Amino acid sequence: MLDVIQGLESFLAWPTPLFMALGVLLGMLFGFLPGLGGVQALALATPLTFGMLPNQAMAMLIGIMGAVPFGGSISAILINTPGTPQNAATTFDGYPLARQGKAGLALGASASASVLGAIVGALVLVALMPLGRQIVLAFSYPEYFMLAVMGLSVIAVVSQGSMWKGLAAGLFGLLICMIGYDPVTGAVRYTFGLDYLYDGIKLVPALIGLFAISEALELMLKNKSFGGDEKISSTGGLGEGIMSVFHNFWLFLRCSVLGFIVGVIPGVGGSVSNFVAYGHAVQTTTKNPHFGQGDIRGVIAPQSSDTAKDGGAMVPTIVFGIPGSVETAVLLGALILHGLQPGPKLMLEEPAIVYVMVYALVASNILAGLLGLFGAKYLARLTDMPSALLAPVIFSLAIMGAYATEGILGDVFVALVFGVLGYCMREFGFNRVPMVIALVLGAMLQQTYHQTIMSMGAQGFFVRPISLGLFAITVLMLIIPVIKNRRAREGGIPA
Amino acid sequence: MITKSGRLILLACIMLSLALLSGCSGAGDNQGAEDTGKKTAGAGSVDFPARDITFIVPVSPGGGFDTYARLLAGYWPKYLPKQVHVIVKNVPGGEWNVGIGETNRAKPDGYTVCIFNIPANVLNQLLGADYDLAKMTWIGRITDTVYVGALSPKSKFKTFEDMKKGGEVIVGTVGLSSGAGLGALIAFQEMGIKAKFIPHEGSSEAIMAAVRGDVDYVQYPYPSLREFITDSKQLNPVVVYYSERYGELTDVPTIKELGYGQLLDTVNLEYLVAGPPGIPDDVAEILRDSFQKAVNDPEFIDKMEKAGQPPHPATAEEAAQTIQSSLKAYEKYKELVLEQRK
Repeated sequence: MLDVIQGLESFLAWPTPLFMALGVLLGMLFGFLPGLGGVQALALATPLTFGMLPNQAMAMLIGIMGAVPFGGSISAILINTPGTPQNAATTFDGYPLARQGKAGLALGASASASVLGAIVGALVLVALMPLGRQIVLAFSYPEYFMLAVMGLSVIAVVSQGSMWKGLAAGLFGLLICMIGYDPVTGAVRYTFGLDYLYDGIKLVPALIGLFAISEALELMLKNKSFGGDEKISSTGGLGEGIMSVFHNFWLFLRCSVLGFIVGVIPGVGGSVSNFVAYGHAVQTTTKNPHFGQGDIRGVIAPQSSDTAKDGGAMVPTIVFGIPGSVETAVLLGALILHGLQPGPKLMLEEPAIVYVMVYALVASNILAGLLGLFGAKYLARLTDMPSALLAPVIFSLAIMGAYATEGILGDVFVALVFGVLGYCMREFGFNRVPMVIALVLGAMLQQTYHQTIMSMGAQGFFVRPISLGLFAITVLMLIIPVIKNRRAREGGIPA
Repeated sequence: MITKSGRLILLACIMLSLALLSGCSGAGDNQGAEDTGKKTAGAGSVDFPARDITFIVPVSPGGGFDTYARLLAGYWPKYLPKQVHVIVKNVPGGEWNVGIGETNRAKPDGYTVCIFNIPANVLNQLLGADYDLAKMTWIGRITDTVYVGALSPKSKFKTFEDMKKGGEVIVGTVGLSSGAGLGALIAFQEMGIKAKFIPHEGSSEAIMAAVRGDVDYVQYPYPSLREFITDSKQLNPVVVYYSERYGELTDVPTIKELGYGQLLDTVNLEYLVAGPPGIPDDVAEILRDSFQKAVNDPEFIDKMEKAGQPPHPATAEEAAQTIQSSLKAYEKYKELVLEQRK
């Protein structure tokens, strides 16, 4: 107990909160700009922390990490470009809301979902820390595989109504994610001799193309006006947005927990959790669902899981020194540079710093949320802009973002190609979500399948409790709607 | 009003020009600087460095190579004639090939250096990369590291003898062309132990698999395994690749004691630094000189020790020598790797 208080003291000791605030600003900026994200911000900030004490350095770095999901949601909502891959699902309903002139509502919901999600993540982290070891060790190849299968089954959930098109999009996504060198079999697939394709199609440029560039194309070619016909100065929705999380409290809580769990699993991070949470929301909402057309629950779900996942990702990081997500991988490097060796030793020798990190995680989200809410008025005005002005801006941001990821021109071409692809998909009524999900999960699906078969044989999937449990959940997720439909039809009630 | 096709054409032009513009803006780092390297009137009269130096790290941020490079980048400027910044640039991709390729093509003016993973990069070259490590301007070695082999406590094998006696050992690696994977492959081949190699996303995942008991054996540099062997007893060390008992691992037999001392030549890992081929001698001398001072800086040593890897540096000549001998030694393992990949 003493450590909790000592940690708080360390965290509040000036200038530590100042460093955290700086981190928040940096994190929000990098989160907002598509193509740049937590990883780049952390890598940039790490050398800046050299002269600082470990407490201060951690406060700053975690300040960055905590603020990124919310920063990324701002661009997701306002310009349909996920600021980072973990904000992709936020575009599905956040952007339609902005188009309806309700940007304030979406931003408010995102802010409070992010803050509260971070708090839930932090609480669960502290509560589960003693069990951290067992939890991390319980996940092995079959469990990862079933998780990937579960994630892919979200495709079925979001494709209701156009199952064939959803499947087609999903399978196409699987095809694309096979491009490149496969470490399991040593095969080099579909690279056409190009070095660039050796590592496959990268997620960030593809997302930028599918969402931002296709949107800019649509705006330019259809000459639609952006914010809908009602030019509401949409900040009126802010308060309503914030309260919406409380109105949908159980959904929020479930998605936070979901995000935390996904975060705990090493190697699986935000890009998976936001889809799983979104799918869960679609699956479990019975009252007036209108996902894809501005259902506020479609913003609450992914955002709360994004910030909760940061809490979860700290578990393997601190307990084992194994990164729970891409961002924590960089964080680990920074920890080591400051002479802190993560692992069993850290909890024993320096427990206070762990609590500093937890406080920073929560505080950074609160600060980011506040900043976002105050700036929302001005941010929401973006949607009042005529599309003739907005489209080129989105376009430029998107292309620069694609380049900024790693400074490779190939990424820009990928973004452009996917931009055209995304536009065509929209024209012909293909949902892009299944494709993105497959793109994210395909590699994990393949590798974990091989790993399981090679080390445990096919039985490995079915004799382990967690793996079996995930499989059962997946089956249920797929079967329940079918049963519901059939029952409703038999009872004469429209489904 | 522009017609729809007119708009499409305009769009295409904008797209193309933006793409080209963003490409040009990023590439301008090393160009446009004066040719400072051409003066040959002996060290001291050459104006180097006149601006910041780029230190390419061909992997993503956060791993051992990235960490040590960043540490070095913090202390290197102290010993340069002018205290410019040494800035780490992560260029991941193609299993080191993208970053090394970029280094290879950079202007040999001393403003681009790179960290190398030997012998993994040697194998890359032998398997067909478009650079020649032997031609690089070698600057020095940050450190080498000692490999340790460890068994999972859940494995049915308890010692090396058990593994040799029979049954198939399941080994966790990242990939067979990675340094650690290659080392394990070669070692087991020499010792006649049957093994199955399970690929993983990264060394952390492979090590975790051993902790869980999904694989029997992992072989990694000591800093990666230390927390699982020394700080806690989550893995059992069974061999250390060193000529004598190493550090805290007083109970762990060396590979020499097990009768396979020759593996010391091949199962190792060195963190080398070099610039592109053709850096003028006076500039290279400045780089090498300052590098040696930096890796011997007491604060640097202290930080490396805290990071778990006490530095064991070497000079540029020794680095170049290592490259030559590695290229020869690994030539014969090329077939072995290609075979496993099928």
